[in-house]
Amino acid sequence: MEVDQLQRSFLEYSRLLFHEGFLDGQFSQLQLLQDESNPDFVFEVVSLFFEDSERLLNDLTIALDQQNVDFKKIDAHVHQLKGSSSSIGAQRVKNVCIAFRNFCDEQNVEGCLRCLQQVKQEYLLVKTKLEAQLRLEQQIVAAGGAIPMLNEFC
Amino acid sequence: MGSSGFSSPRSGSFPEGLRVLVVDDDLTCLKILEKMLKKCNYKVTTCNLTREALDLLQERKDGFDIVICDVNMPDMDGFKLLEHVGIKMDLPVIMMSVDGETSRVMKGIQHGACDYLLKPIRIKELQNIWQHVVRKRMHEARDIESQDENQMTRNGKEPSDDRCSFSGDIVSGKKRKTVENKHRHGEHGDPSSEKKARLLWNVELHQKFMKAVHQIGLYKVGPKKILELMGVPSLTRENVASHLQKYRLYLSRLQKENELKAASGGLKLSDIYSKEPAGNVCLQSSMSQNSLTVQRSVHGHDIMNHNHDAKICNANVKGILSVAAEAKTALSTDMTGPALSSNPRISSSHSFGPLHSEVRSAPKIDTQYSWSGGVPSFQFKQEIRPHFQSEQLFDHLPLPMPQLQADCVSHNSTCSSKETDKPIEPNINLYYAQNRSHVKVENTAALFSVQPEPFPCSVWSTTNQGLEQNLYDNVECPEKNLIAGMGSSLRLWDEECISYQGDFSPLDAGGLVHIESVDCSNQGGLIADAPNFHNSVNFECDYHSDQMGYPVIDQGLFIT
Repeated sequence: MEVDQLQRSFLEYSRLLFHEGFLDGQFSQLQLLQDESNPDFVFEVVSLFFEDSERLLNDLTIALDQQNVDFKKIDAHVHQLKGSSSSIGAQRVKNVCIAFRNFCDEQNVEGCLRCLQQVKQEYLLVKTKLEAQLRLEQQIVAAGGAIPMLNEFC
Repeated sequence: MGSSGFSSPRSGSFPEGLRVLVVDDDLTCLKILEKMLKKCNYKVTTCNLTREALDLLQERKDGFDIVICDVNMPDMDGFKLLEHVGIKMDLPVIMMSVDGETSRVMKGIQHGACDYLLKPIRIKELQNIWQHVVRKRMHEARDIESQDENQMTRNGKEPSDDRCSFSGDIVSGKKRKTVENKHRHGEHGDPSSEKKARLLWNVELHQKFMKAVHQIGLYKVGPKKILELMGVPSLTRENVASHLQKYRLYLSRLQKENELKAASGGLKLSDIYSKEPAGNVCLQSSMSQNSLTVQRSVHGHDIMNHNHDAKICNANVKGILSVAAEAKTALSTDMTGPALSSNPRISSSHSFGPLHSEVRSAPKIDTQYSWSGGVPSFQFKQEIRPHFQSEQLFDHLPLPMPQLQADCVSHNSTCSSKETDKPIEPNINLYYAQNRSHVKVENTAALFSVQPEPFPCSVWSTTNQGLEQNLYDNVECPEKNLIAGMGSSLRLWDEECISYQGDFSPLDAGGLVHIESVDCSNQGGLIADAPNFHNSVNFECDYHSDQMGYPVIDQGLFIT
């Protein structure tokens, strides 16, 4: 594929992700941080995010599965997930976390379970999309091109 | 970058090379922050455990210029780290969190954070963190200078010349400047662990202070002028400035209290409350009854009133009211409190009893009283609420006994505000004022219709009782009352661990005395008690009243 084409696809895809709220300005910040000294920065950070999130989601599932739900613990986990998702710019995941925390405050198990479902979904979605975007990036780089940036979302 | 900090020449210009320590348990965040800081040309060290961070800081004492830490850390509360680092190591600390709730941010600031960032953090927010380092340096330099200048032995610190370096050695000023509320009281001294000789605002100093303030005029006053007028060589402008600030806070506190009271009671506090010049001022205006000349001029005194009331009750109010009224005046925030004298009968027929109970309930009274009488403004950390049943009280007496309040307050504190750790110095003053009122109180028995309970001893510890006794005994002798009251009150406070956080300097009580220029013959007693007071109270502030010996001071000083 031509570099141009790849780049255009990439931009379109990025724009879509932003528009749909999967990603927000924070993600652009990450992209800005990537430079020659750290060409895989975004990839590394996103990978870390995936690891962290999966661990947290696991912990959350276990915690909510208990007889006596420990809301404090759950809140702590969600808080963390909220933190990392917002650092990455995974907006939709972050938003679910906010709702999740509210249910925790109310000690509403049902609500929490629903949120857990939702957050898992959102997480999977954003994961898929980020992976797709990263693949596009890799292709561009492999084809010798530079990764374009979406300025409007900075 | 060498450990000498920024003072050593570097290839880049400041703030390049700023040595930042980032602490966050979220690895994603940590990585992002690290990258961002590196982009700012800072030198970054990361760790994801607070313990680790503390160890690092210990090992490399001068190795960092600033610390950024997340509030929610698994092994240790971020705030604790903040305290450790901020206080012990005197480094600027920035807190960060996903949670931006005001209360959280407030907590951070109160614990000494020099900034609080909300996640997700953008790079431009990090670009400017160097300002905190510079600011701190400047404060410290200023502190050092002023300390050098003045003879007072504040702390054993010697002027050091490497103030400019970013090494974490600068300890001094930090305490003073940082942390707003927390250290406010100990402004002169070091509220934190550092041992510094504190400036004790004793009676004389305070009197001089008040004199100077009066001379200049409360609204035109400035620390420099006061300092000049006071003519105390070892005093620094900063001492005066902070003292003045406290005083002003006290005044405003009184005002608020008064307003509160007005709302609750039928008193027209606004009338009373005043920065009115001497004279019966307020008292009269608001009192429907003539007898109630007691002005509630001291709004703040309301609080005092409560306390006072309690005390008064026991003390056979009669004479008290007037005295109280006067005391009130004295206490009026305005320094210009009307001389109590004019209102002899302060018909403070407060039902002290009830008041008393109310007072008791006041858990934490956070008041700052500034007496009109040169008493340094002290801050009661108590929630001063018109506990006393204003209704009751006010039915009889429009004016609650101001001073008495003070007492009550203090007592209150004992009951409740154990939290505060400030000495209840102010109380003392108030107390004095109270006493005065006692003294002057004419027979406003009628006013005191309510005195159902004997002095609420139950509320207070025995000391109270003792105090009350004092009051009673001294009813005849105004002067004595005053003194005794003071003494007792002091004792009360003392024993009850009145945790007033205020820089109230008991010494200022002298001011109170001024109110009526009462010659309390009991001075001795008073004085004797004073020390007690101070001792038991946690004084965080500089006012250590070692001697409560307040001779009768001419009221002129206090009531202007």
